[in-house]
Amino acid sequence: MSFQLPSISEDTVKVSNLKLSTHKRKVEPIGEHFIHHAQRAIRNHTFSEYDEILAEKQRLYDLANSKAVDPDEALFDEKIEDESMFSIEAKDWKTADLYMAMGLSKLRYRATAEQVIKAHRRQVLMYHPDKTSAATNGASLKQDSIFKIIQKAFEVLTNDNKRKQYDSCDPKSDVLPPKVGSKYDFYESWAPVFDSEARFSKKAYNVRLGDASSAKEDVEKFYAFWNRFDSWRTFEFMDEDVPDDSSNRDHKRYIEKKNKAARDKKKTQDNSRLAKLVERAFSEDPRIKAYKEQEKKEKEQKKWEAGAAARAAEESKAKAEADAKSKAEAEANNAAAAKANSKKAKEAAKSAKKKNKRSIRGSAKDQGYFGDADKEAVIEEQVGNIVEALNDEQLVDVAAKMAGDAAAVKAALQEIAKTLAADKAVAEASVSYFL
Amino acid sequence: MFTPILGVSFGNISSSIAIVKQDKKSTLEVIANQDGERSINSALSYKQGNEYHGGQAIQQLIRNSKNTIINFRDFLQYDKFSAIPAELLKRCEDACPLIDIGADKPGFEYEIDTDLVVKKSVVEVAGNHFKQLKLAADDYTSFDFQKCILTVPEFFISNEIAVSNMKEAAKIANMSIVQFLPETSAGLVSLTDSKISVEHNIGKDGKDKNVVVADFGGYTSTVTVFAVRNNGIMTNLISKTNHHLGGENFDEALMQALAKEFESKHKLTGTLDNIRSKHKLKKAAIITKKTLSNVTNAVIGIDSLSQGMDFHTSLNRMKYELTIMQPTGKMAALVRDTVEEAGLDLLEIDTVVLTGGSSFTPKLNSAISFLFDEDVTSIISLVKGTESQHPDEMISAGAALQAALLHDDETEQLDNLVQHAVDVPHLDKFIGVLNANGDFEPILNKNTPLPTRKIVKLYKQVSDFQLNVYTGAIQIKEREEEVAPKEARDAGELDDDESDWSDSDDEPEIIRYKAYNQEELLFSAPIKSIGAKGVELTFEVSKEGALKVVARDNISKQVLSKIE
Repeated sequence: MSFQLPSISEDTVKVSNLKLSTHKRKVEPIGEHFIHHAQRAIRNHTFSEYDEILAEKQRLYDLANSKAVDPDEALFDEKIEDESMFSIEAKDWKTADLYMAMGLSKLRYRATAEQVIKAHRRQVLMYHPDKTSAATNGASLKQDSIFKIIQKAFEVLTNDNKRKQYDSCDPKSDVLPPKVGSKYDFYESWAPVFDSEARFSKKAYNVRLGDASSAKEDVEKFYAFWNRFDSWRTFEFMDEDVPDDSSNRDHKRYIEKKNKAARDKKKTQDNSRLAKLVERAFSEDPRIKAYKEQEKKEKEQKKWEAGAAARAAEESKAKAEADAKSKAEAEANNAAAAKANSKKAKEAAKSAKKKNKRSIRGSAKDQGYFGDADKEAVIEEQVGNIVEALNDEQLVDVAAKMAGDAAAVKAALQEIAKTLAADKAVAEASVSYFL
Repeated sequence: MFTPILGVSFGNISSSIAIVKQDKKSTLEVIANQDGERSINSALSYKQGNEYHGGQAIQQLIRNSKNTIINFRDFLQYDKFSAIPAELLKRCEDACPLIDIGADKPGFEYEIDTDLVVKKSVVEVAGNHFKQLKLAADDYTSFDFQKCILTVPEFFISNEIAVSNMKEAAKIANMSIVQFLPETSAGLVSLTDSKISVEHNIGKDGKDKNVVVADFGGYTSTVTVFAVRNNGIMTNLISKTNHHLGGENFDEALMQALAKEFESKHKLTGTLDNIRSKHKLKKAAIITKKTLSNVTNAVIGIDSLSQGMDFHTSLNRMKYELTIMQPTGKMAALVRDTVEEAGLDLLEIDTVVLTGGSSFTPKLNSAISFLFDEDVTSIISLVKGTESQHPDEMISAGAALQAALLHDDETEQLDNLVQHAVDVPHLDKFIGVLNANGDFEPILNKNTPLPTRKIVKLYKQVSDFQLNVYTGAIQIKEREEEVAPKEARDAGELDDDESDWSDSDDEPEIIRYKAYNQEELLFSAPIKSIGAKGVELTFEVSKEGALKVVARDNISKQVLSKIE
């Protein structure tokens, strides 16, 4: 609203009525403004209080929705660095690096569709002929071609099929494997190689090269993936242009045929290249070597373990044999010793017996026949009978008693004679003297 | 993320469903059913155990009319068959007729499968219709909607029977109705919501407006005059409905004309007595109507229309417009009468919104445009190319927007909001100030709901000033304007014939225009400006009607004067 108010005509404030006449009506309970109105009414907010509440709400909403600087921006190139890009003519666009033209040389095949569109907008703003001619006073004709290349690149990179074809033939995305024979860190040098090759996979590339600590299972999965690699790589981009004039169909067909043959050849070459690459990596993988080593060791260990039982059996058998032998020997020794001992004892016993017998026989004479010298012959004979009848124990017993005086000897003899007689070992008559 | 409340518009002829999708930005989506129809016919048809819905059911009308249910919504107003006026019953006599299904209950009797006849009440039929609508929404969003906001004609909301029948029908489809919206209000919401960037957003410029929303449906036409104040609070000033005016009248007129042409061509009679011929003709009439809304010529071809005779003809828009002259005239008259009944002059209407299926018709648009002064009133309709929301979908869109609002502001229950804030005092008069020329400059409009606040920034006001605040009224004045004599400018170039012709037309033109009169002085205050860059005047009126005016420095916001 714009109008001028009259200048001051009165000095004082004159109020006649500030109470306005009203009538009741129903407002429609619909729409955001009604809700604001209702909230003010319910909570008794004044307008300025409610403004603050709304502003706070809006601030929170903005905070939640505000997007920081677009992270994609950092991934794009500042400008087209390679000056040679500007000298490529638009018709030779296929020779240009389309990713560089789009400012995506860092991202290349990794750029998402969204990033391609963003990058394109950026490049157009920078390289549109209107912009560049204004900046250089129309002196830069060459930038006209770069813009055409950018447009062409956009066309290719936003079309899924065309982009696949271009990515297939983008040598700058390829990461070369380390030179054969050179010294290198296996994981550091090979991981980017496989990561870049994996872009052609029809299947998802889930298990990566990993490092020395990777699980064996993963390593096996990794090589299984690469050995069974299914590639979508196509080589249409390198096709010779097929003339689209219908004047010479044969020629057209010939070119088409040639293109197809070239494509097939390239495809086969690429497949074998990859197969060789994988083979080489496999043969150089320190983990695979370690696995092989380990496998070998394990095999030996197993073999050794398998032999252990037999060896144990043999050992125990030898031990048992030795035991038996030594036992037998010891037994033999013992037996011999025992034999010798018993012989000696026997002889000793025999001699002791003889000695005892002799002492008994001699006892009567020694004691002067107990005063009965007249009965010398009878005593001698009868003592002899007793001695003959005595068993080994009685013999020892009696012999021990023969050391005493005559009466004791006689008593001993009498006693043994009675015993013997009672045992019927001797006839009573034959030992009558001692009875 | 979708708002879990569905916006449903339920019409006699067609229904539509919409939803607000909330991601970073809210977007409105009008959901199409599996046949791709966004405007889904409110029709159900049964054949061999299958239920057909929408356009598919309408297809069945020709061959299977007895088992096709159409035009059933308005019956929901009645719970007794005997209470339904005969005129209303006529609407579906050519399809499955409404009958008394026992105990004076209105319902339909139809054959679901061979020899399987069922009787269903109107509520159950509406329930099946809701089920199909819910199915379309569920399929689209893979969400199970359990709540909806339903738009119905205004006379439904005040009718207790209709409300309870609607609730019951929704329950059959496993939904609860959160709020009933009048169709015209919902249409208006779709143009005032700040979330949706419609080119012709009514609330965008923050000005108070008087808006006419004209909903021209199939059978009924409703015209509502809204006072849009405080950015977008709507007050229904008046609402008028004609129950016998709508797109069906166009169809009927066209059918009569076509039948007459056919009969005179083939010397036949009674084409419209045969139900199948009638449906064939009607189908052709609807297609023709739609075609002629877009292009100026339509070809009509009906195989075997009657007694084995084919009918081929073409119709141009001019002829069509002559045919439908009467109903369009009535519709324009309805708009004019409603505005007059609201106590407003046509000049006081700032915007006219045309919605509903019939608003496509170019003739109707021009008829309504003629009523208004094109410099004062803007007309928003698809034909005018000035809106982005399809008129068929505007109403369900409004319901979906309201659903999103209710869902966002869960803090308050709707009942609570309605209870505290619906019945509010409105200003009787304009409130304004006198400008340097002594003319009244309105600040607060008549019919502004209270409390209200309006901030006026006057950048050019750098000197001290007298603030004279008055109540005011609008006055329509007329002035005669001489048509500038053309001869004066190019007399030399024009030949005599042409000069004569322009002379004869040289009558003074009467121009009607709006003017304001101040009535009662509220206060007068001298305000000493401190030489700043303009002044900011804040007018606030409390709920009780007490006016408070604060004058501030435009830059420092320092209060210069306060009158309360």
